[in-house]
Amino acid sequence: MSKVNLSDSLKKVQEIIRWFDTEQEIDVEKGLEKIKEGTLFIKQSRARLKEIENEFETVKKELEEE
Amino acid sequence: MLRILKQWRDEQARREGVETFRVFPNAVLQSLADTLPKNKEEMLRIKGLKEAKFRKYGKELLHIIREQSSHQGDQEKSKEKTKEENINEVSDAGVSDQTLSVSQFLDGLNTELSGMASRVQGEVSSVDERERVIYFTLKDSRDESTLNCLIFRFPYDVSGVKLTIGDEIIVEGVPDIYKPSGRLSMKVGVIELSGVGALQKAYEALRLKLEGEGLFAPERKRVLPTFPERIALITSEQGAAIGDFSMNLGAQGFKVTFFPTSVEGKKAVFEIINAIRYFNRQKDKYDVLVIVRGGGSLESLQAFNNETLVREVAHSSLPTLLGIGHERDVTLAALVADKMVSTPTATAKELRLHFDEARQLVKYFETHLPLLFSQQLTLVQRHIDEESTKLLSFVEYFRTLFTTLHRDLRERFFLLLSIKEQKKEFLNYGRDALSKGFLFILKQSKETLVFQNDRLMQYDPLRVLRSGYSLIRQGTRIVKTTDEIKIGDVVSLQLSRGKMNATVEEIFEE
Repeated sequence: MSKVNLSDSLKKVQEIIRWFDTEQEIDVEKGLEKIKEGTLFIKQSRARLKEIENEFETVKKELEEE
Repeated sequence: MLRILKQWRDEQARREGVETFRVFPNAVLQSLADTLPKNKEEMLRIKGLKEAKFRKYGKELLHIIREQSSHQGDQEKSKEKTKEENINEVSDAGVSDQTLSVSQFLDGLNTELSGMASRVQGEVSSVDERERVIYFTLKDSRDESTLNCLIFRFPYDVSGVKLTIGDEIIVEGVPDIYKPSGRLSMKVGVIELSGVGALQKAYEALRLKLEGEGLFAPERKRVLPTFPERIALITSEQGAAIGDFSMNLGAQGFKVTFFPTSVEGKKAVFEIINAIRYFNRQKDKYDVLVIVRGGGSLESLQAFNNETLVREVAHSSLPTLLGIGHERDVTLAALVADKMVSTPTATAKELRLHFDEARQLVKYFETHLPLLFSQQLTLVQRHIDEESTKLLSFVEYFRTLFTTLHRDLRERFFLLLSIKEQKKEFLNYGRDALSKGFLFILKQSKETLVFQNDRLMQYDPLRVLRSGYSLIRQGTRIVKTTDEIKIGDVVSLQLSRGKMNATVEEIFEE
């Protein structure tokens, strides 16, 4: 799985939503671009948030002490 | 086999209060595991294992190897050999009938004593704290029996117990005779306070000390990563804590690196410190350091109130999250952590908290973002409609304006044309009138000139002269009376035709 920075992705989507909320005159072209961008971030976030089994690795004490 | 040997080595080192390599380095243990020596000769062939070490640990090691070998199969055969080896070892130990030197005897005693690691409780009756070693005596309150003890500085500091006369303590160690004095002492590796009252007192004292240093201050606390992914976990392999923690983590794709340690007893202090240091040496590999343990009494949680361990947590480079259950007082390790919760389950929930929130947020984004865009598009559509209507009304306005202007211009143009025609006529009339007037004035002037000429002709002196008159001048002056001349003057006479000079000869007065 490619490395997704969940925190950054969610922040970017929030920024896009804020852009839509605050923009007085929406530039449709720019809006479409933002939607595309936001959809990609949502997709990435959703992929990262899929239920993925945790990986457990136990430190071998003897190896650590060498 | 290697794992068993290492466990034995670690336990022995802990009892003696020394570093593990001082008992046996890993290479020796590896050789023991590889060659599985069955007697003293085979064991002494191993590099790094000399006579003195054999005297101290040989018997026990042979026993362990034998035990493990028998577990791994070939049990009957191994037992047979064991009998022989036991016989050999007893004779190797050399405490039979032969005469021994004092040193040999004491070495033999120490070998025997090294296998008598014990846990002893007593009251501290004297303390002699030196730079590297702390000597103290333990007294049995029932019969005044006394035990000399010593502990090296490092395990003493790690134990977190300040020896004070009168304190009831428990020590773990190995008895040993110091050969130059023949005095028996307990070489202590671990000291614990005994009794809840003493523990409570020590807890309060350390809490105040750490608080005074500002180790609990909120401004020291670091914010844990919102989405931690790589978790460094320290807890026991046994017990419910690891199960509760794992079960409640949910499937978030965490990468948990688990360092199993004891979580109770003095052994726990060493092991947890070791684990914290291990993770901090590779701090770039982890997002958060998590230590969990189920609930317990003050006594069972002593490790987490140990000063050295608490400071290790406080100075961890990795952000720390502690979930240590407790009955009354929160452990000091939890108080210095960046974040503390009360149970292993709560720890897991804390780690997954933002993931759960993020899922909800993503769901919200999924529906809200297209909706928001659709709303914005509707707004844009409305805006376009409004603007189009406005534009059309402008177009209509300009069209009307243009029509009006066009008509107006046309009218004005015709008006101008008619004015032009009028002016042209007027000019033509003016030109004719001017022409006529000019001719009239010319004619009139001509007539006036003729008339004036006629009049001038009437006044012309030549006309008089032609009638027979003449003009007399003296010089340039016309002579009008006789007073103006005298006899003898020469005067000039102008006739109608020609001139002549005359001399005045006589003057006749009237």
